[in-house]
Amino acid sequence: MAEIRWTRQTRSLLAALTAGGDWRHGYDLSRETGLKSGTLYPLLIRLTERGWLETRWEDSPEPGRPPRHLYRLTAEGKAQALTAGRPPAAAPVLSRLGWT
Amino acid sequence: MKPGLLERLLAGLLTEAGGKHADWVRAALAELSAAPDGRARMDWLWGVLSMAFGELLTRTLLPWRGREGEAPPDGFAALFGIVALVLPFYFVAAALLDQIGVGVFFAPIAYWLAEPGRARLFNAVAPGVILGAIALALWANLGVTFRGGRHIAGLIYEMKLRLRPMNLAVLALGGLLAALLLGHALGEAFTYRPH
Repeated sequence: MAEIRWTRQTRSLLAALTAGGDWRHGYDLSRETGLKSGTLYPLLIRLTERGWLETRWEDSPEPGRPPRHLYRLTAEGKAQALTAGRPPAAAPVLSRLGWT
Repeated sequence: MKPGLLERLLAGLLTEAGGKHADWVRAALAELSAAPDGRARMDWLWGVLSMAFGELLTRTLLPWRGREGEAPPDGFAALFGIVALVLPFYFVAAALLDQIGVGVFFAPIAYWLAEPGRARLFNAVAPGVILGAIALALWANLGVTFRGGRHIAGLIYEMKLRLRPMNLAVLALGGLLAALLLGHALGEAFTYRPH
């Protein structure tokens, strides 16, 4: 399973998903975060594969239009999003190196 | 606005290219309806195109991705490396043998280069092709020899070393060929030639 890297893009996407609360469309997330589709969707894929995001399809009210995909943070995703603004903890790294 | 024939055709092609992420490509394409016309729409479509193309390339060139371990089989990398090194090896070996008086292997190259204009084309293209092939062979085999691990707190990157004779042999041959070619190029560049 792909690791989530705490990049600026990941943090801003998690912030947008947290602020939005309910189900969000990809284009809205793109506008809010400034992420292009080529950056946004790989991030959404990774978050979903990690179980941080749930998805569902929404039928278009307009006939002939394809259904749209919606995204919402899971409980785990919300918990992770809360830590997104914090710097990485030093203690586990130091203990890993045998310094503590 | 309803999707036109071209848009539906493109959607079908991109979704097909998306492979295991086909649903995601379809999801991104569906958002085109939300994008206003013009630049924003083109930007969005460009992103979807790059995503689908990247997925297609990954599926074609890195078929092991998404499977257990997510690493190329050692044999695949070695075979790929050997195939990539055939041309550079022939060129370097033929040139070296020619230097010591065995010109039979270099003769076809010399014959081909004798045609006017071909030497210039060869000089322009050959370094990129030969060094590129060596770089590809080294990249594939370095990838299976040094396998990346996971990030810990975003600071540490674990790396596993796997020493397999066939991959090491390709690395050694590729490194030797690169050293010979680059050494020769440097030697030529810094050789004093009196006018």
